[in-house]
Amino acid sequence: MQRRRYLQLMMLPLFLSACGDERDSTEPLLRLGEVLGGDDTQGYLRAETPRTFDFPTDHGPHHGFRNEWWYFTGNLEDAAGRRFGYQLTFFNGATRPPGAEGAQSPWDSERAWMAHLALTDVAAGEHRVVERFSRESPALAGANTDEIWLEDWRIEIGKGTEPWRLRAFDQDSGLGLEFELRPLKPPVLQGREGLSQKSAEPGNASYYYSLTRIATAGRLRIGGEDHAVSGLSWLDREWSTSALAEDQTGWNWFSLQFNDGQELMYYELIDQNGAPHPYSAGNWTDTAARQTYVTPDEVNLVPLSTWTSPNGTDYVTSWELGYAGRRWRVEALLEDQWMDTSLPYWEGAVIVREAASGTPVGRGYLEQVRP
Amino acid sequence: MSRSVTSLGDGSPTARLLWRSSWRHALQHRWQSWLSLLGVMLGVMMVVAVDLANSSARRAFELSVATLSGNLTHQIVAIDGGTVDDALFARLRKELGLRRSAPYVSGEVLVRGRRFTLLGIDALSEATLERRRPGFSVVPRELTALGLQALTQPRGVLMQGETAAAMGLEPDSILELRSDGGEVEVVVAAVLDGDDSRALENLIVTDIALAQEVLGRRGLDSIDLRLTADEVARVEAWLPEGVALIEAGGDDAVLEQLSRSFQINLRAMSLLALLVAALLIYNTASLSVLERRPTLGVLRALGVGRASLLRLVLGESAILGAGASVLGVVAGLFLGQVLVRFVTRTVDDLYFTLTVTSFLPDYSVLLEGFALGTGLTIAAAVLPALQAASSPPITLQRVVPQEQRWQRRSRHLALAGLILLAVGYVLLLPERGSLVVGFVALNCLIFGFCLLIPWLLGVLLSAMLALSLRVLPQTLRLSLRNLQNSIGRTGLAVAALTVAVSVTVGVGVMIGSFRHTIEVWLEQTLGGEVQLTRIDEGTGIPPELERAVLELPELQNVQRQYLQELRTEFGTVRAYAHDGAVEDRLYMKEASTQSLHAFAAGEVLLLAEPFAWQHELEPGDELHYFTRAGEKSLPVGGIYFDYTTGPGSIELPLARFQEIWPEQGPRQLSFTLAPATDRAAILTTLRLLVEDHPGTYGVVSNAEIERVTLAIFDRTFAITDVLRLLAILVAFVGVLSALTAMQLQRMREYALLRASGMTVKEIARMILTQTAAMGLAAGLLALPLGLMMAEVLIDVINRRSFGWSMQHLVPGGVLLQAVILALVAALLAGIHPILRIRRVSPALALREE
Repeated sequence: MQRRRYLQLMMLPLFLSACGDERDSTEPLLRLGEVLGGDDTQGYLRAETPRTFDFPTDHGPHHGFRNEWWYFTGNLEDAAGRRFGYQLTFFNGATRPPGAEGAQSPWDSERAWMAHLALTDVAAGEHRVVERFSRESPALAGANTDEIWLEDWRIEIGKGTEPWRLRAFDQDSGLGLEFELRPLKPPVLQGREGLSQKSAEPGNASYYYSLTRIATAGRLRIGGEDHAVSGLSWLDREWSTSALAEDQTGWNWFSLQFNDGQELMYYELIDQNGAPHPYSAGNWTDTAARQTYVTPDEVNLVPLSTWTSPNGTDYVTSWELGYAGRRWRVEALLEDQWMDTSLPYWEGAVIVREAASGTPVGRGYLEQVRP
Repeated sequence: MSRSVTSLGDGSPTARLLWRSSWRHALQHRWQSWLSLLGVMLGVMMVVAVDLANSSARRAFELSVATLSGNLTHQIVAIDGGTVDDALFARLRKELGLRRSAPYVSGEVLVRGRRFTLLGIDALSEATLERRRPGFSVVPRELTALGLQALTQPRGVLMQGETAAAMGLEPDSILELRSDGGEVEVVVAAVLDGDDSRALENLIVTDIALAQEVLGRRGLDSIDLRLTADEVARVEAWLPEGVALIEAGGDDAVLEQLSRSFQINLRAMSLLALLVAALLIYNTASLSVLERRPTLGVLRALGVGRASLLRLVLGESAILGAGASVLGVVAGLFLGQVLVRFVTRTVDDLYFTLTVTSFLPDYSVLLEGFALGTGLTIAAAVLPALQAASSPPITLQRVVPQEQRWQRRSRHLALAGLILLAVGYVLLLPERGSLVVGFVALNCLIFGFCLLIPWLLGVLLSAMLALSLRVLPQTLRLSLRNLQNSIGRTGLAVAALTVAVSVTVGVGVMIGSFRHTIEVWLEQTLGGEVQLTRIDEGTGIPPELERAVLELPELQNVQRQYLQELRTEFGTVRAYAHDGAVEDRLYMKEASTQSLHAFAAGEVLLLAEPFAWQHELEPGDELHYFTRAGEKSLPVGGIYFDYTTGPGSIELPLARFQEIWPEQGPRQLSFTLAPATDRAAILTTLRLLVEDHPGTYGVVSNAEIERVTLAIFDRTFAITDVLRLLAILVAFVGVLSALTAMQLQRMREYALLRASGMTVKEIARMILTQTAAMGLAAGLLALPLGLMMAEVLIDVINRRSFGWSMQHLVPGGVLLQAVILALVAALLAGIHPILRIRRVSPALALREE
């Protein structure tokens, strides 16, 4: 009997693939609109009014919202000046509104988790990605005020003690990282006091803060080879129930760290026609961590060159960005920093140059999400 | 009687004196004391080792109940057969980072009165485990999608499309699942359709959380894994208590059921070991008392009470027994770990799915071994101690009367033995009966025969004396007569040796017969030279594949074998059918030409012997079975030999088979090869050919099947060789100790002989004559006992447990080997006394007089 069951279990994938025929294998598994938009907001908390942030507690999870993420990116180099980029992201999504009844089982999970690890080795021209999924229970993944984990990948943050630690290794792909992080500036509240309105509809907003400059040191592993590295990281934290309106289909997000100690975050939301959406926004942080809200009409973004991903989507790999009378060129360190994940997107390390002279003035990360 | 000494435990001067006397005796007869100790120790060791190996193997069996799983390499399961803690899976992934792992839960549920298997999976884990069988595509993406969907739709289940349709269900239909957990409402999230989805027809797949709720339980059936060798070591080092890592693996073994037979035979060996050990221990203990009769007599004459003497002797035995048993248990623990490797290997061979990755002893065996050794030693001393205590002081000092009494007693013993033999025989008379009765009968026979041995030995020695009248010189005849007079002491040693050697004969004959039977059966039932078999449970070999195969010019004389599960009044059986003449493919046990004609005409069916045996069916009986068209029946036309299947199998006429399952293709095609065909090349061609077709196939030559089967068979019984050697070793120590005791008592006699002019050489010849006579007697006596044992093992034990009947084959080599074995063991036992004689000067020995 037992034997039969095994046979049946093993045949399952066959039938799944058979019944999944109508789904094209290059089509994304997840859709942005389904993840970050949608009408199914009943029973969840919404980001409607500004709130008081409390650190380090707010580094931990915010149950009751539909989505939340911890988004680390960074530019690092080894002792010889070899440049690397990294991204380690934890996303969670609620499986049902809080209080809704689940199954009577320790495996019943109120949240599902996804994590992305991506490393860019500029010298080798390599960009590698690993994606992980897990249900939350029993203790497979989760977040509390001390740590965020998905199996053996983890972020230790929020205890109020430093350094923070990131640790994520994937045996099969030979990728991994292990860093110690020390924030050099206090959290920057994005939007208006941390409430980042994404469209006119109330509640289509997220709570959003960033740590724009984090000293980072440790080792990363790519192609099974370890490198001792150091540099700067950036942390984006966001939680929401419904962020995007129906007419918003993607975005371009810049996190730039200038060599003079200032930072610029700017996201440009894109509408169905590919045009910038008026709810795009940003933030300028000066050396003393003073913030200036950035509106779309203060920013001038011009695509200079594009790269086409294997699934046929165009991504801009060189931009001209103008703000407050200054003009920079934001250039991808590698054209192909495409995230071939369930929800494909482009995310990669960039260099920032003075537009006129071409002099490097900073580094950063660029994310582009397309419909 | 005198009450001057009443207690041994009171520390009185007399008690201390008595103990000291015992101690001195032990020291003076150091050699014998060691032998006694060794004898008990070996006996205990053997029982403990065999039982440990057995219990460990049994547990491994239980742990790996038919694990079967494509590319899975291992499973974590609960040692007690229960469930694995849910939290362990998360720990495995968090602490070891092993992602090729997935939890697994299953159980039975009822849906509107229909029985289904509910399968609880975590599709997200399945996506990383990439569970598959060769030829099956895996789509982790789809599993991930399914996993996420399952989490957001927590009441959803998947069903096979046809099943759902037949029950009037479609996506979004609500249905109730009933099981131990009560009734739970679920939603059909999707139906699975495919060309070959029949395998899923009784299956409901759902998320593991819902499955646990429906089944009303917590915990996992197993954690399924794909591990590298390094990872295996890491997991093993990490595993918490209560769970075990077991190997998972390939497919059904041909001789799956053999493993049960193997277990039963091992159990029989363990019982025989016990018997040999018991004889040995009794021998040792009683000899020890016998030798000290003069001392004991003096003590009695000095006024030591009977009770005190009894306590002294029993106390000594207790100390000897306990000490030796402790040593025996420790030695058995080590030996058991060696033996378990043999057993493990067999398990591996037979199931090739599982390995005992660790030694899993049942520690109660150790306690039992200790109790057994100590208890038997004390029990063995009771009779001699009683005799010693009850005899008047004077008699005790003499040895001879005791021996005379033994001769008288041997006749009484023989009578008791005959009665026991009769009881054993009667117990075996009914054709059917429990296995336990079978074992009891076997032991009655062996023990009864043992009781006959002193008398038989006397008869044999008389015969030898009569025969050697002209051949042997007087001195040697003298030594034989000496032997005849000391049967009380030597009889037991000979009995131990006889039983040990008879095990060689019995097991040898049984294995020989079994192997022969398997050979004949394989020859008879393996059709053609090359076979192509569909291994997975599908609709058989698809017509396109069959056509493609038949187009190969190298393959000729195709024979088709069909297989399906059929529900009968006696449960589900494997129903086979063949095209062509059935007598070419089955090894018939009972069938007339007439009934074979009836079979060809589709009027009768044939039964496999174990199935017929189990349900007491005979030709002429009617077998009822159930088909979609309702209940049917066919008379039994005959019975064929079968040594394979678990649930029992039957052979249907092909026409009847195809009536029941019109769309079912053949499960197996077998061919002969055209002349000058390269066998390896055609196998490769076939293997490449099947890759283009759905399903999993095995392509193999019959020669290979036969070779592998017999190799497995031989390896299976390798452990019995080890046990045979052990039994001989135990008996050897017994013979050694008995002979040594006997010869040492004769030291004065020998000294006298030497003083009167006999050379050491002549005396050595005398001793060797005695031991050779004992060995020869034991060897000869072992033959009937061994053959009887084989008979019982073959016809009773194997038949009662499996319904198998076997051909009888008595290999002459085994018999000769047994006699030589006994002779050599006995001759070796004579060496020590000879060495002693050489060293002892006649004058010195005589001075003791």
